[in-house]
Amino acid sequence: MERGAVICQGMPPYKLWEENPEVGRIPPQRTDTGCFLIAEVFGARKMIYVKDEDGLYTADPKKDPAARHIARISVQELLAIDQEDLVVERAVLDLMLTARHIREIQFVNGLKPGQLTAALAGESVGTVIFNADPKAAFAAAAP
Amino acid sequence: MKSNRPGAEHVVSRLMRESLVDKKVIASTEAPVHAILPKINIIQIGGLSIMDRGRRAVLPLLDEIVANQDKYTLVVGAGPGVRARHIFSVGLDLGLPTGALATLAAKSSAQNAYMVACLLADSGFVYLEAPFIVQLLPAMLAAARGAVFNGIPPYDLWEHPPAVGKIPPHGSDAGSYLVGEVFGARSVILLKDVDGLYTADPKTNPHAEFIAEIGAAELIARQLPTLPIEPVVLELLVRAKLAKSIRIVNGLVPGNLTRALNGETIGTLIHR
Repeated sequence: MERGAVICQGMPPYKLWEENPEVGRIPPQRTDTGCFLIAEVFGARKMIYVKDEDGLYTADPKKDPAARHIARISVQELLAIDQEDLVVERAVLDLMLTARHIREIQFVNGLKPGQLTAALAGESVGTVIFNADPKAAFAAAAP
Repeated sequence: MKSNRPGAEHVVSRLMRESLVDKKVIASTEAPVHAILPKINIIQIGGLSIMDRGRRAVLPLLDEIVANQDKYTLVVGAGPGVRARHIFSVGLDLGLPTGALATLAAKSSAQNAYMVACLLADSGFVYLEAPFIVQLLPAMLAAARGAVFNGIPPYDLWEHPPAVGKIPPHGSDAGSYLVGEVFGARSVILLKDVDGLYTADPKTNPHAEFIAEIGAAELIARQLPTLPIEPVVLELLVRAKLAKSIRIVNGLVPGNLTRALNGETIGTLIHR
């Protein structure tokens, strides 16, 4: 804490209470989802995902050489495209639609020095996925 | 990490270098699921509907649970009731997020579960809090004669913000159902203060019609104004792999629980 940082478990604590996925048996809510929900409940300044890719592509860049990088896209558009593969768990995209605090998430390549610092400084490195209609969640939020 | 030593064991894992977000990879994991504890029956005691009524409602029900103990393996959950409503209203007034409200609700629910556990202790039931019901239920059921758990799932700060409002969507109905689903329980029985599902709230609308059996997807499509259970349970039922139905029965009517355990037609059956 004296360095202004803490390390936390990324997985949410759902354990045996994890909901079934629509298809298959892989738990749909893993570390991407757990970290997103921590950011949301604390009203964090930023939610940055550090991966081994420059962010979101139209396909898996490790397998498809024709995959194109996407620098910025709304969560609504991304859900509508319904890609075969993604840089993030789909549960995060669903939660973005109802999140009250987190309006955008950013993905940077942790293997490239400087990208995390740039993202923390507010620069548009990697990929930003944003909520194009955050008012929808806020309008619904009134108890 | 890499070893070229002759005879070294190389672990081949089919998901090792795959994207777990890839739809084809996800689809490849579809297969029948093993039931961990297929003999258990989950009994959820409603908080507002049963617990808050005190001894008049609770004691006959617990007697009925004990009367069925020799015949069935019973795992009993309890809901939070009016204390959660109150802490929600204070928490909402103070601007707390859904995750904080979920954490508070679980503490209220633990109180009801603990009271049930105290009353059933002499009959050999053990109380298992959230992490222990996961780890110890099989061992405890081998040693004890039943178990009691907190109905609210341990989502805590990680509870999902709901689409509308701020009330945590996963309450004790969802928590109890999910315990039944993951262990592959024989039955999931939700005890309430109504006879089951109606087209409207029977307490306020005399024209409300009773529904004895319905599919979860059909019930979602009907968009009824009120339900006797948390709506999220219907979504969970649509994706059920093992616990493919729940039965809602009136826990204030003696004999109903026994009939539900015996598989008789009582209350409302909502199935996958």
